Amino acid sequence: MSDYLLSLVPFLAINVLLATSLNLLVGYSGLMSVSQGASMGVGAYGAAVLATRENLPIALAIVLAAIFAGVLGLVFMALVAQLATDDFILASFAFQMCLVAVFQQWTGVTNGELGLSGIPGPSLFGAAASSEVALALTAIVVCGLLTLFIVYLGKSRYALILRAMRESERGAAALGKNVTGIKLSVFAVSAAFAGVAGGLYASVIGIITPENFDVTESILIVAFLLVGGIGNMWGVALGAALLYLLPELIQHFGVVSAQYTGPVQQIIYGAVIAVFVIFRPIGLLPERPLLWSGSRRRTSLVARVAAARGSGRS
Amino acid sequence: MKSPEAPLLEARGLTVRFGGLVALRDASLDVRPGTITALIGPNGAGKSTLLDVVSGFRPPSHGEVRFRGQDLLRRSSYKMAGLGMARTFQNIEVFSRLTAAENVALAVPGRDGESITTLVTRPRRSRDSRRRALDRALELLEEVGIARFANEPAGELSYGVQKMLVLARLMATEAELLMLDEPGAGLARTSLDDLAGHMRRLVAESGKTILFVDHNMQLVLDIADFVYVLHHGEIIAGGTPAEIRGNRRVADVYLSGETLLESDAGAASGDSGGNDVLDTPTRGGLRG
Repeated sequence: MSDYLLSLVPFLAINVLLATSLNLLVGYSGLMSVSQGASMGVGAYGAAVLATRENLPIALAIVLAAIFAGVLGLVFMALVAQLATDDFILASFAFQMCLVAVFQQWTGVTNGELGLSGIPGPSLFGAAASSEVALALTAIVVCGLLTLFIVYLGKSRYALILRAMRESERGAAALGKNVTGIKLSVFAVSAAFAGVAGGLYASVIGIITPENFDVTESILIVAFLLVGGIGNMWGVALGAALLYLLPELIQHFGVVSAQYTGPVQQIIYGAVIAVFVIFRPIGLLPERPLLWSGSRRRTSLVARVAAARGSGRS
Repeated sequence: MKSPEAPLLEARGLTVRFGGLVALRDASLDVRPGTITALIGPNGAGKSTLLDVVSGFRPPSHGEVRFRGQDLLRRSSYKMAGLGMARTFQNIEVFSRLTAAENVALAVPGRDGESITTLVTRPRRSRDSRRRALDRALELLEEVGIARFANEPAGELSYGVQKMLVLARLMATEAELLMLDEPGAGLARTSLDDLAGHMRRLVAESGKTILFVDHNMQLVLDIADFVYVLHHGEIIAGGTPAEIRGNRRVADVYLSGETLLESDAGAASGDSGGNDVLDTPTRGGLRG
C-alpha cells in the first residue's frame, strides 16, 4: 500500500509542475494554450534521445531538452503573437498537433508509435535515484524548486504586466510595456518548464510513446487549472493533485473493474471539469491580488462602504 | 538642449485615410513644453485619430511627428513611454481585474523585476522595485483622492473613480508629455473641478506638458493655454482660448450652431462612457 502511494509521488510532482508552468501562461497572461502536453513531449523525447543515443548524463539531457522545448515555444509564439485570444487557442492546438505528428512520424528518431524505451532513471553526477524513496525525493526536489521559482515569478512586477496584458494589451503598451516581448518570454519559460516535467517523466517511467503527450494530456493540464483556480499557483497545484490522484486511487482500489477503468477515468475528468466550469468557474482557490496595501481587511471594508455609498448616488 | 521655445511635440502634415475616407487631412500642431494644449471639434472631427497618431498608436498615411526633435513614426507604441510620453484612452482601458493600487503600480517606471532576467540576476532589487512601485501608487491614489479604493478591483469602481485612476496611472509613468483622451467626459461638476485642478498642478508644479482632447468647452477654455479646432479632419484654427472665441471661421462652423455643439457633447459622453455616468457634462457653452 505505502509502496504504491510512494510510486505515485514522482508523477504527482510532475503534474504539479505542469500545472504551475501552464498557469504562468494561461492564468496570468490569459493566453489559453492546449499545447503544454506537446512541450512536455519535446522535453521527454529530447531527453530520451540524448540520453540513449548520445549517452549524455540524464540530468544534462533533461536540461538541454527543456531548453529546446523553450526555444520551440519561442519560435511558435513569435509566429502567432499578434493573434487574438480565441485564434491563439486554435494556433496552440495546431502547435500541439504538429508536434505529436513529429513524435509519431519521425520514426528514425522517435521510433514512431512504438515509442522509446530503456530511458535511464534520474541520476546526478553518477548518483542514481534507484529506490522508490530516492525517486520520490528527486522528483519533489526538482519539481518543487521549479514550482517555487514559478511562484516567485508570479509575485513579481513581471507577473503584474502579464495580468495587465490580459485585461488590455493596448493599455499595457501605453504604459511602456513590450507586450510582444513579454508574450514570447512567458510562453518560452512555460514550455521549457513543461519540458523539464516531460524529461523527468521519461526518466522516471523509462518508456514513452506519442500518446503520452497528445492533446488529451494538454487538456488534462488545462483541467488542473480549471479545477484548482486559474491564476492561483497553490490552487492549480491542488487541482493537479486532485485530478491526478482521484482516478489513480479509483483504479487502484478497484472501485470499478479493470476493463472499465480507462473510460471511467475519462468520465470523471469530464464531469469534474463540467461541474467546475458551471458551478465554480473561479476554481477551488480564486486568483488574488498581487499587491496589497496596508491592512488589507480594513482598507477593503472601508472601500466597500465607500463604494456602496458611491453607487447609491448614481 | 533645445531652447524652451522649441515645441516638445511637433506634428506636420498628418493625413490618415481609412479606405476612401479621409479621417485627417494635412494636420499640423505644436505642443510647447510646460503648456496645456487642447484639441476640440465635433464628433468625428478626427480628434482621437490625431491623438492616436501623435502617440504612436496609429501610423499616418502621410506626415511626420517629432518629439523633442526625434522622429517618432515607425517606432513600436510601447517605446513611447520610455521616450517620455504617455496617454490615456477614450474608453479608459483600466485593467479591470487588477486592484486600483496595482493599476497605478504597473505604470511606475523600474526595469528591475519586469523581466525574468532581472528577477533571476537581481532578486533583491526586483523586490525593492516592487515595493517602491506600490508605495508610489498609494501616494498617487492619495493625491487624486481615491486612496480608499486601493485594494478594490478597478473594474468594480464607478466611472468617475476610474477616470481618476487613469489620471493617477498617467502621473505614475513620469512621462513629460501627458496625453489625455476626453478626461472630462462623463464627469460630474465637482469631479471636473478636481480634474482641472490636477491638470493645472501637473503643469505648474510637476513640470509636465499636457495635450488633451475634450468636448467640454468650459474645461478647455478654462485650462488650456492653446487650442486647436478640428473640423472634418482639418485643423481650422489654432490659438489662445481668447483668439478661438473670436475666430470667425470657428464661429461659422460652430458658434452659430451652439445647440449642435451641445448635442455633440451629450452624445459623446453617452457613447464614450458606459457604466455609472454620474452627471452629464457641463452646459457652460462657449461664452462661459
